[in-house]
This record gives sequence, structure tokens and C-alpha cells, in this order.
Amino acid sequence: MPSLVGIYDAPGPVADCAKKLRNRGFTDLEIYSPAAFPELDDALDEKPSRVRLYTLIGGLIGVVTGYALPIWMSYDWPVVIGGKPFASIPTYTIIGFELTILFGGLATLLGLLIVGGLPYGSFGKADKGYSARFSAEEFGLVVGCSDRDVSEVDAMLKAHGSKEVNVVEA
Amino acid sequence: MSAAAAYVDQASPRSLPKAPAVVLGTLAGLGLIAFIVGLANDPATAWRAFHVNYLYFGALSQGGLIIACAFVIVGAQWPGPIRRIAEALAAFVPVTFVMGLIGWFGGASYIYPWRADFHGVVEALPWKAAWLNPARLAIVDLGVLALLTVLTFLFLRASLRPALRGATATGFAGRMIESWTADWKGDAEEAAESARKLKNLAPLIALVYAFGWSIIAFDQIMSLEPTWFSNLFGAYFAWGGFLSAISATTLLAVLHRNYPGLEGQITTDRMHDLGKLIFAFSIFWMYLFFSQYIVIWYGNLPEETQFFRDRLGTEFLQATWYWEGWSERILGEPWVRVTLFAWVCVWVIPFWCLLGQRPKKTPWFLATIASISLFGFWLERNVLVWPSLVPEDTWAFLGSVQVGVALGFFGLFGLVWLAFARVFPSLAVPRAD
Amino acid sequence: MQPPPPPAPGESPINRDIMSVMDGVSPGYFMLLGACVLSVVAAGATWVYQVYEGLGIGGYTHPIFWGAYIVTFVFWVGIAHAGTLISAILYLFRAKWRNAINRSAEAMTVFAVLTAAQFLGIHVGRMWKSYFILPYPNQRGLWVNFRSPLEWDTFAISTYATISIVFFFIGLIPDLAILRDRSRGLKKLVYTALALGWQGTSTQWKSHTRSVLHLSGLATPLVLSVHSVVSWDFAMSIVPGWHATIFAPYFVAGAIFSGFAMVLTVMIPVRRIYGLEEYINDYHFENMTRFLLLTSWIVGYAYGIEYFIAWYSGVEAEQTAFWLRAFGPYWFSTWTMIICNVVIPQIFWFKKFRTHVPTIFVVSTFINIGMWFERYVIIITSLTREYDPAVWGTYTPTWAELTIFAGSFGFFGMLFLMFMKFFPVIAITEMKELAIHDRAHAAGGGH
Repeated sequence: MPSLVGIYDAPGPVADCAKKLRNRGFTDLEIYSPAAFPELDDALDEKPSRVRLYTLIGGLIGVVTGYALPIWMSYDWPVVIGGKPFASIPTYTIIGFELTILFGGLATLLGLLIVGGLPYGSFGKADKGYSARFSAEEFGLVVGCSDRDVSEVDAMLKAHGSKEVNVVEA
Repeated sequence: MSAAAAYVDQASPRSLPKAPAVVLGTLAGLGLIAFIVGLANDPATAWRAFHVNYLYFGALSQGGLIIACAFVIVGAQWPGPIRRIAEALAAFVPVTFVMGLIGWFGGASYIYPWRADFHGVVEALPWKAAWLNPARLAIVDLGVLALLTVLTFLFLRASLRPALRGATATGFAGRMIESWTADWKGDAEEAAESARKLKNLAPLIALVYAFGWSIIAFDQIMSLEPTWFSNLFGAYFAWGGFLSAISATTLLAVLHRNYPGLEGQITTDRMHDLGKLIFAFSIFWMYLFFSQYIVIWYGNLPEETQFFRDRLGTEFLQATWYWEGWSERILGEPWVRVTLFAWVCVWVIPFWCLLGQRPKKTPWFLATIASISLFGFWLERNVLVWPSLVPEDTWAFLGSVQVGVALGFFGLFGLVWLAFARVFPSLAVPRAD
Repeated sequence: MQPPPPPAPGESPINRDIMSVMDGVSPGYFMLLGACVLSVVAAGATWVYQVYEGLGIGGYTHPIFWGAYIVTFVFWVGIAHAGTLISAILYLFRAKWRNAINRSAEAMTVFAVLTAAQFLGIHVGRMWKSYFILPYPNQRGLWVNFRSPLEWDTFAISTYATISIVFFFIGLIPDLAILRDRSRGLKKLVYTALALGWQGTSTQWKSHTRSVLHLSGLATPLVLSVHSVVSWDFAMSIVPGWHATIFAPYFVAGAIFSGFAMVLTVMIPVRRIYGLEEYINDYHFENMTRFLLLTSWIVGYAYGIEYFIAWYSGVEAEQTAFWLRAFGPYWFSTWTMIICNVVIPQIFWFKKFRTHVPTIFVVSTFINIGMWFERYVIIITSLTREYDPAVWGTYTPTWAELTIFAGSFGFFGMLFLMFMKFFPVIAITEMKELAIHDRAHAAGGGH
């Protein structure tokens, strides 16, 4: 099955073209972009990134841990210090806060890795359609299609302003 | 991202909307009656209610101008007409000055314990006579309010001048427009001149607000408990004024999303941004509160804890944190329920309800949260003032006179805002022609 | 201004310009690096000697047991705040001018936290027992004291170090992929491993944007909390001059102020030497100096209010503490702090100086000096003059403290110099985002 790589200079046409292709029933699509552009965010998938779920769960685990840990430890070996209660909620709020941030942040990193599919591939290997051009200033729209659709996809990529279309066999 | 339709920053006068004006006018009238009745029967209560509401609306209106200043200082492009809505809150600033005068010369002996000596505090505080004396307070605090009035006037005139050019109106509004657009030098020059003046005035006003309202907070709230002191209190109070102004701006923006000339201007993105401001700044408010609380809780020095004891009770200061009978122990002390309720309105609800994106983008929801926050700040202002004066009487702030005065202030504030935004007009909208 | 046309296929002037900083090393670079390494070695030797001899050589004697090491610790933690501020808060506020400086500021955050953390170990003396501060299960069944602000500090500083490294790394991943595609040999191997196979697919970018947004949301309150917790190390006590409610926001503002000044002090020479004038221009300076002016006023506000409330409170110890700050034995430090932090930055009211690079460099250096003295004033004046005049004392930093203090600059400089050679000092993908966006607009085809 061949893949076609359309190369563009701007994100807008890539997004338009990807949407058109999806409407036509092509599902094996990939976009390579040199930087983040809001236009491209929903080009392949309208759903918001699942990373937010990771942050939320991480943060909640953090806040529970941050209160539970010091409270339990203070009662496990009770020592009165400075006349303060064992469960000194105002001070444990600080621990609770810090752990919320710590766990939330680490969970966000985990979320990025899992949702973004990282680490990806083995050393130096990348997808067939990828090239160093996309870490310069060009955009790539990769379409996997059957042989008989090649000409149609090629025409569509070009109609949206692709300056060149390469065919990659996979 | 949906880009807003091109916004034409041009003013056109209208008449006051009938129904709201009648309602607000009635409330203002009722408030006046309640105040007069209160003066006749229980002047202390009437003046204290007056004091609370003057502080609440005073800080809120000045906060509105600070929002505009902040937009100018950071060069924010996103707000569009929202700056006009916030600016219009500042129309109440001169009224605040007048109210300050009335409150000081009318009610000082009912409001300030060190003035009337009704708790025998003056003998206990000989060293404070240098600061807590009537002449000093009148000159400094009323001077601050007067200075802010002048600066507000200069800012509003510089800001509105380009938008008012060519607007026509009769009567008072017409004369104002004429005087504010006198000596017109040409559209481009005036726009540049306006931008230049605002750039210079904005940081100055922000500074005078920060210092001035801190001093007002020290003098007119902190001194009600004359032995108490906290050096964060001024910033805490001033920040509350700013945040309540953001809530008010949000509420008014949502209410005006179908206003002629503003159609399509109060976009989802702008509401999202306003929601983010309420969310983030309420966290900062909580942070300021906590910074005061933890230091005082930890130090546990009697001259510092008294303020929290009068509001949150002893359980929050020398907490034992056991479960048995927590509701009676914690909630049973005077004022605690009111304080906690204010905290829920100002922080808990805005924080948890505006956490996601969708709530910030839903107009009715955002407006509801903004209203809750505004109400919370009104409660919080009550909690700052009343317990210092009547530490035992939890419901001292509620009563026909107190509520009447509050509604009166609300009516007057609404009328001034409407008059300034619609008749004078600062809400700049495209003209019919 | 008309943006230039798109570059030739596979070419990117932005890659080229920014990566050129990483090419080759001049003798000047080696001399600077050598100087840094030397100062670190000197500090290390001093530290070994201090471990052998005891903390007495660090000027620790009754009544001073928090001296220049703690001052320097607070100083570096403060510096660490600008990075997260620029990256996170300005990201949330969508301030475009952060793009040119956020990478180096984030790097400075990481390095400054690492520098600061060492001072805790140096300060406690027996560094090898530092792990006592962690709540680990042990056979005595003891736990740490969570009611102590020093324990909060452990959590705050380690969280801050972790999150700022994560934040820095996440921002770096796309740039690492650029380096991977343009390097050879061992370097390529390392960059390939670090880039985690990043390809810049739309799914990856979407998650990346999300992650940065969330981390910004988390890091913003974290910045506030870290220096607040540091301030509470002091404010929780009842030492005159320390027990103040304003301490937390005052320390945070001071931290941001000093951090911004440090970013300017470091970036101005880097910009000049590597010809990055196009990327860090008047627009950035204008905004950063305005920001300095703002934070200078917040710090000035805090100074003023502290003095006022100390007087108003009527508490004699407080009044004395503040009187002695200004007119006691440490008057020099106090006036240095006021002049450097509040008076000198007022020059930025004038537009001419907001974009005059030499002036900015000089003023930001003065701010760094002033902010070190601010912490010196807070710590030393209060400790030397506590409640009981019988135990009043004096303190001057010793040669050992000054050597280690100098070494901390060497350590920070060394890390930063190495960073410049291995990673892009400006976030390449963010510059591309702006450039491509402008180009699309100019072409009329964009959104």
C-alpha cells in the first residue's frame, strides 16, 4: 500500500485538505508540523487531548497523599511540637498543595508520553513518511491509500496547495 | 478560534432603559428611607452598614478602573469593548469620595472605636494617637479618595475622547460630550494623544490605588480592632476590590452580549478569558488569605490572633481537630458560619466551578458564578467590619436597615453605571448612520 | 514589515541562526568556562575544609546560625523564579514577548534551583545526613516533623526542582528532534535518545500544547508557593522583623524581580556575542524593563508597609528591629538594598532607557546586588538583634562563605555555558510558530 506525502508551507491548507480527505473516507492520515498550530489541532481528531485526564487524576492522588501522609505519620508516633495539634491541617495544606503539583506534573509528563506515543521507534528510525524537512519549516500530510486511489489523493493534495507530492511505498 | 467581528469604538447616546432604571431607582430610594429610619432609631447600625457598603462599592468601582489600567499597561488586545464595561464601573468613584465625606463627618463616632472610645480602647493605646487621630485620617484618606477621583476623571476623559467624537445628545450628556471633545485636533492625532495619555496615567493610577486603598484598609477597617495589625491586610483588601470588579465586569459583559452595537462582541473566547481571570485571581485571593492566616496561626500571639478569633472562632486558632461535636464547636461560635459562607462564595465555588473550559464558556453559568463571587465579597466586607464592633452578634449585619442600606447602595451604583454607560455614553457602539 | 518568503525545501534560517550558537568554541568561551570551573573547585575545597574544621569557619557563632549560606540559598531560589514565571505565567497571559527568552530562563531556573539546593547541605554541616529530612521508614519508627517550615521547604524545593526540569524537558523535546535530524555521530545518538522519537505529528503537538498548558497551570501557583514557603521559614518564628504576614507575597515579588534581573544580566552578553539581536530586540527589552519597574514597586510597597506597620503595631521589639535595620550596624546593607531595588530601577520610567541595552545591563546587575542584600538585611539584622540585648551580637561573612558564594556563581555559569553548547538557547519551534504564522498572514492564505 503506498503512502503519499504532500508538502506544504503553511498549516491552514494542511488542515483543510486533511478534513476533506477524512470526509472522503481516508482514515490513514498523518500530519507532520514544524511547530504547534491551533489550526492543526483538530484536523485529524476533534476530541480534546486526553492529557487533561492524566493531570486531573495525578493532582487528585497528590492532594489526598499530601494530607494523608503527614496526618498518618503524626499519629503513628505522636509527639507534641510547639503546642500544635497532631493533625495540623493548616500546615499540612502546604504539603498537600506541593504534592498536588508534583503528582499532577509528573502525571502530565506521563500523559504526554502515552498520548503522544513517545518514546517512539528505535534509535534513528522514524516513519516512512517522515523526513528532516518537517523539522525545518515545512509541513507534511501523509495519506495511506490503496493503489487505485493514488491519483485522486494526489490531485486533492495538489488542489490544496501542496508544492510537491512524493510517493512512499510501505 | 472565532475572531470577533470588527469592533467600532464609537459612542452613541441612548436613553436609560426603563425597567432597570425604575427598579434601581426604587432600590436607591428605599435605601435612603431605610438609612434615615435607621439614623432615627439606631444610628450606630445605620452608619456601620453605610460604612460596609461604601467600602464594598468604593473598592469595586476603583477596581474597575484598575482593570482598564491593567489592560493598558500590558497592552492587551483581547478585551475589545470589555475595557469600556470595566471603565464604566469607575463612574462611581466620585460618589465614593462623597460617601467617604458623609461617612467620616456623619458617622465617625459610631464607626471608629478609637474615635468614640466605646470599648475603652483609647487609654490602652496611647502610642497610636499619632496615627489614629481624626485630623490625620480625614486629611490622608479623603485626600486619597480626592486624588483618585481626579485621576479617574483624567483617565476616563482621555480614554473616551476619541470614541465620543461626533456623538450627539441633548441636555447634560450633550454638554459633557461637547466639553470632553473640545479643541479636536484631528482623528489620528487624538487617537495617538489618547493612547499616550493612557500609557502614562495607567501605572500612576495603579500605584495610587495600591498605596491609597491599603492605607484606607488600615485606617478604616484594621483600626476598628485598634490593637490588631497585619502588614498584608492592605494588599489583601485592595486585591479583593480588584477581583470583585472583575466579577462585576464579567457579569455586565454577559448581560450586554445582545446589547445593540455589542452583538457578537462578547465572544466565547472573551468570556473564556474573563472566566480565567476570575479563576486565577480568586486563587490569588485565597493565597493572600492563607498567607495571613498561617503566619498568625503559627505565631499564636494574642495581639495578632484576635482578628481571626472574632471571625473564625477559637477552633481555627488552637485547633484540636477531633471529630466529636465538630459542628457545635466550630460553627457554634459567633460569626464563624458567616465567614465560612463568604469564603465558599469567594473561593470555593469559583474555583471548583470554573476549573474546566466549558463552564467558563457558558454565559449563564459564568454570570451566575460572577454573581456569587460578588455576593461573597459583599459578605466578606461585612465580616471584615462588623465582628470588630459587635463580636458577639453574628447577625448584626442582617436587619431591615442594614439590608435596606445595601440595596440602596446597589441601586445607586447601578443607576450611576447605567447613566454613564448608556446616556453619557461610554459603552461605545456603532451609530445608526 | 513584510515577512520573507518561505525558505528553500528543507532549509530553515531559524534553525541555522539559533543553532549557530552551538557551533564551535572560541578561546573566550574556554576562558570563561575555565574561570567558572576554577571557582567551583575553590568552593569545593573550601567546603571540604569546612567539613573537616567545622561550621565555625563559616562565621557561625552565637547568636548567628543562619548566615551567608542561607542568604545565598534564598538568593538563588529567588533567581529560579523568573524561568517559570516567563514560561508559565506569560504563557497563560499569551504574552508574545516571552518566546525569545523562555528557553534560557527555564534553563536558569533549573540551574539556579540546583545551585540553591546545595546551600542547604553546606549550611547544615553534615551533608551526608541530609536524607534525615525525608520521611523514610526507619527502625526507630520516627517520622519527620511536618509542622516545621523546614520540612515544607523540602517538599517545596524538591517539587520545584522536579517540575521545572519536567517543564524544561517537555519544551525541549521538539527542539531535540531538530538537533537529532541535523547532527552526526555520538551527538546524534544522544539527541535521538533525548528526543524520544518526536516527529511533530499533529497528535503529538496537540498533546504537547495541552501538557505545556497544564504544566503552566500547575507551575504558576507552584512559583507562588515555593518562595512563600521559603519566606515562612522566617515568618513562622516570632523573631522581630521576621514574623510578618506580608512576607509570602513580598518574597515572591522579590524573587520574580531578581529572577528577571538575572535573565537580563545573562542574556544581554549572550545576545551580543552570538548576534541574536534579531530575536531579542527592543520589543522584548521594553516589556521586560516595564516588568522590572512593576516588581520594583511591589517590593518597594512591601518595604514601606513593613516599616509602617512595625511602627503602627506598637510592639517595641518590632519597632527596634526596623529602626536598627535602617540606622543600626547594618545600615549599609539596608540602604544598598533600598537604592538598588527601589531607587535605581525608577530610571525605567523613561522610554529612552527602557531600550538602552547598556543601561539595562547595569541596572539589572545593581538589582542582583540589591536583592542579595535584601536577604542579608532580613536574616542578619533580625538574628543579631533578637529580644534579649544580652545576646545581641555581630556577624560578617568569612572568607569561606565568600569563596563558596563566588563558587555558586561559577557553578551556575558553568552549567549555563555548557547548556549553550548543547541545547538551543532560544526555543526554535516557538520562533517558527511566529514566523510561519506571520508568513501565512502576509500571503493572505492563513487564518
